[in-house]
Amino acid sequence: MRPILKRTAAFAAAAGVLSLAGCGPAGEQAQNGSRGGDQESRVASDAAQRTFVAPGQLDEYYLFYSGGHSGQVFLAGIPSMRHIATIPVFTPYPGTGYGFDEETKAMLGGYTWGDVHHPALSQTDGNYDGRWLFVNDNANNRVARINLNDMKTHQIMKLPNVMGNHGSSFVTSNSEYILSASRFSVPVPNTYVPVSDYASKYKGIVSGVKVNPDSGHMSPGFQVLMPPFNYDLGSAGKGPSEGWAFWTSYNSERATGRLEVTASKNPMDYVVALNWKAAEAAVADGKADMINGVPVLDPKKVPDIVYLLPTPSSPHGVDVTPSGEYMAASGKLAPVTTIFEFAKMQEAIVKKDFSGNEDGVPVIRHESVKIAEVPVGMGPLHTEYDDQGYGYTSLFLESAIAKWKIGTWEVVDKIPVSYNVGHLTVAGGNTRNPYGKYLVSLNKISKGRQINTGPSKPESSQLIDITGNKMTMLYEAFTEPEPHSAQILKADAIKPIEVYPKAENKNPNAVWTPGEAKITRNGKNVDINLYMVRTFFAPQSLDVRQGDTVTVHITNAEQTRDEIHGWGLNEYNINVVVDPGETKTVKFVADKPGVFPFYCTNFCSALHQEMQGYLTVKPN
Amino acid sequence: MSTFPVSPPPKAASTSRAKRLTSKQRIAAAVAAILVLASFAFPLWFLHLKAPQYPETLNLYVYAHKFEGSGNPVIDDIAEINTLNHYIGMREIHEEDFPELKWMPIALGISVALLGLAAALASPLGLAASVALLTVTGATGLSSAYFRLYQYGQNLDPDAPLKIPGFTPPLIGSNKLVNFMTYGYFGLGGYMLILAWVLTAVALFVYFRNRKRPA
Repeated sequence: MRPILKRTAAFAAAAGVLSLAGCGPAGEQAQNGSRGGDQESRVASDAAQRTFVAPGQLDEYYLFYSGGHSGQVFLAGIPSMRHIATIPVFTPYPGTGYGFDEETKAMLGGYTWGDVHHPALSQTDGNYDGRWLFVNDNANNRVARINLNDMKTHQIMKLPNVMGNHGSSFVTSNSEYILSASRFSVPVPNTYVPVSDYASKYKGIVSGVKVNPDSGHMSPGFQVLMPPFNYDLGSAGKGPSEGWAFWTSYNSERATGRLEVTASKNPMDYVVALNWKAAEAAVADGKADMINGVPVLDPKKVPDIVYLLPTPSSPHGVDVTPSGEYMAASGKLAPVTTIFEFAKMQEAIVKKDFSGNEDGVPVIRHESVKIAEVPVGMGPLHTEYDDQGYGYTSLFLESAIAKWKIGTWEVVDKIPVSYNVGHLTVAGGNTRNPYGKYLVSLNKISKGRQINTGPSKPESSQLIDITGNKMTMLYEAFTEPEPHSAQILKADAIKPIEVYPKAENKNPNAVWTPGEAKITRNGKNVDINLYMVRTFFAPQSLDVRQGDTVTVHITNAEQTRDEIHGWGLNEYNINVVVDPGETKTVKFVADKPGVFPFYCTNFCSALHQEMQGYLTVKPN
Repeated sequence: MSTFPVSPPPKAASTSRAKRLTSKQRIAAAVAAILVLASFAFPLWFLHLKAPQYPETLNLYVYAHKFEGSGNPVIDDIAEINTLNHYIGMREIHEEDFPELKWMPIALGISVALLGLAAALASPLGLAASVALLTVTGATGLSSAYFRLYQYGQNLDPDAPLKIPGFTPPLIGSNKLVNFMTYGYFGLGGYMLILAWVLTAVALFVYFRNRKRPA
């Protein structure tokens, strides 16, 4: 029975056939299958008024959404849904000169892309504290920290041993750790082992990346060796479940090859429950082995830190309720969301109510911890919560969002979305005190709902009002590829700086007057302290010799909001954009002889075009 | 310095020498001393510059001893005014180019001391001296301010990117220049000085009027 259902569903998803009558609550199903049609009837009659942010007015919330394989973070406003800024993280971004100067180049570490999936706002007491935004890189196994004070990436950290850092970067209640888990299992430490030995020699990792409570600086923390499943999405415990972390996993079959088939055989996969406080204590007690500089715990040797909860049908998301009492896990090919009760899980652990063991990790008896199955509909993925005691689960296959009541576990409403929603985000929806009010549905497929962009299509994000009994559609926005997940922060929760204050610029190479600008030669090394202001550079002529290593320290001496200057150097592939009061350094070898103009790339003033100079490279 | 007996000194003391200040005149002198002292904490005069792209308006506040912007974290007003002024070839405004900021505090400080003496000793001479000093300081300060506005506005660099005829920014009132409306106002500190001067001048006037009457 199950494999047939699974395969039907998988086929339906692949073919984009969205009507799966019979798999969910009847009636709703037929509506959701229709293309457009009924969705229009769910558009709020005053949607235009409620989403219109008049010129000069400000949005009420920030929407930080991941840029997927663009490697960036996008910033939009709610309720307007306007894309306002791109915060470059894992990919060079000439628009802000990111990845051209020495500091950001070093941070990128030679990589030119990343795959950002899950942005996580830092928390204190389980609520957003407006300090940092952490993001993961699924591709090159990294995490990054954006400081909300200036909305820039300040640290990128490579995670040793973790391959495919997908189950990241969810934060614990007081930002003690960023959760991280490996999507792909590989040998740990990573050496050559044939794939035929996958089931026994490959390992998964769940881990906590330590965050310095004052600076936000990230360091490796701890890792736990896990059976070679694919680890997926995470969620941190809060309130009664504080100190625990949860991830879903699929491929409990330990299969390789064509996973869509081989990893869909078991009716149950697992939710991982990690007692991170116990893991932290075990590391402190010296029970970890150091592998590539990270303390790694092996559950075979260190018991009682991690458990598995059987969950139907290749679960994708596990989401702890705001009270911290329940975990909602959704099997992506199942028609239900499974609710586990944290208290029952602890009871089962004490009673050792286990049904098995996977590489030393006890498997808790499913029936002992499951308290409900919410009949949300087909293809549930992720759940977030509002301030009124409701959960909202995205239904990928059904292309809808189900609203259900915590406690009664009844579905009370469903709204169609276009199409194939992945993550959804409720304002503050993963905190102890959600804001509620708005939900954004991050749809994977837009299928021509926008003016024709040719074969390459944008993604669609839909803004949904969740204040009433019935959800209503407010707005549809289109984004570049490809938001996976997002978080919503009240706009007045943070006050980013708009100018780097001159007094706080401690860079020894900063220059604040044209008189301080200079060129210093040391053998074949030429150091230039370049001054930029409206509307000239000092010095205006840079004379070097072919083969010189040229280091340019560029200061934007402005102290006014939005007086940004760029230093673009023709034919040298350099564009350094410097914000007011900032100093950046760029280094290059003057290997091409001739005359190369440089100019201000970021439009600054009436005489912006006049802001230019020459680099002359004298041949050898 | 500012403590003094509230009751007038014995009349006998005034018979042979000049008549002392009455308690009202002494209070006027004391209040004026406090006003002049307090004026250091507030701008004497300020300039607002408004343009579409400066929704926060640019402000230059002139105190007896310093220049200040609005302290807005998104803009350094004085640096911005200087940057903008370079387009029309106006000299940069720097505190060290203004000796006014040196002698004004000294003159006002002496006024405070004289007023304190006048109040404490009921000295008409102290009162008269402070009125004279405040008058001279005020007149010199105002004319100097006007001269500076004229000097900075008229002597524009002929090589400036934007060539405009010389102008004089308004001491009080407004004018328009390119995309900027400029407004000049007295600040709270300025009004304090004016009030102090009026108080002491009236007190001195009343003193002289009463002295001429037979006792």
